[in-house]
Amino acid sequence: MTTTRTFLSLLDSFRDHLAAFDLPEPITVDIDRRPLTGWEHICVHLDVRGLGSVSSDLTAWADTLTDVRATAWRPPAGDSVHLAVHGCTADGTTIRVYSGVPYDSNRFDLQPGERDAITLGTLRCWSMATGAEVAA
Amino acid sequence: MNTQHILASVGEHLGGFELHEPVMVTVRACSAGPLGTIQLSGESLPGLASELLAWADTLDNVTTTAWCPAYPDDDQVFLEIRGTLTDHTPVKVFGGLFDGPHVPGLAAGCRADLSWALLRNWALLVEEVSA
Repeated sequence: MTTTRTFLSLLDSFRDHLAAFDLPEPITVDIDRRPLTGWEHICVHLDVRGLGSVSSDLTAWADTLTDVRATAWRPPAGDSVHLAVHGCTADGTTIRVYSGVPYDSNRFDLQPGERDAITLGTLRCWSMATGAEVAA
Repeated sequence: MNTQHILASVGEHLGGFELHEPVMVTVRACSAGPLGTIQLSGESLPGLASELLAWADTLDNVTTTAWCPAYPDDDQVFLEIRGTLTDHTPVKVFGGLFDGPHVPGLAAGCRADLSWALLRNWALLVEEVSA
C-alpha cells in the first residue's frame, strides 16, 4: 500500500541513503509525497551509458536496498528498454532506480509497451559481460 | 551542481520558510532551465494562488506565467512561478487546475504572462469563501 509522507522525511531518508553508500550519481530525482498506488515515493534516473554500465549501476543500487526486484519495460515507441530496480531504503521508503538502454531483440523479448520481471542475476551477468568486453 | 546539492537547497528552503508541502519535487543535475521543479497540489484556485504567492515571497528574480496544454480536453490551466532560491538555485513552482480560470491571452498550447494583481485577486477568493 502506498502511503503519504512528508516531503522532508522523504528527502532526509534519501539523503541518508546517499550518504551511507557510494552510489552512482543520479541525473534526475523525483520525490513524490503521495504517489499513485503501486508506485514508489522516490524515482531515481541514472545516466544512459549502455547495457553493461547501466546494469552495473543498477546492481550497485540494488545491493543497498531491501525487498528488491528488477523489471524491464519497453516504452511504446519501441526503440529502448527501461531497466529498473525497485526496493526500499533502510527506513522503508520505497524507491525505483532506472535507466534506458537501446532495444536489442537478441536480448529482450518484449513488445512495445510490455513490462516483465528480470532477475538480479541477469543484471549482474550483463554487468560482468561488459566488464569482460572492456577488459578484452 | 549535482542532484544532492539541489535536493539540499530545496530542503533547506522548505525548512527555512513556512511553505505548504509540495506534492512532488523533481531535481535535475543537467538542465538548461530550472534545476528544481516543485509541484503544488492545485486543489483549488484560491489555494494554489495563495501557495504560489507564499513561494514567490521567498524567491529572488520571480516571474509568473500561466500555460495550457496543447490538448485542451478538460480546460486545464497551469499556474507557474520561476525564481531562484537564496543560494541562486533556479527553481520552478507550479500547480495545475481542472476547469482553470480565464487568463487573458492564454490559448491551448500557449504560455502567457500572468499579472501579480490577478494572482492576488484569486488568492483573496479564499478569504471571501471562508468569511
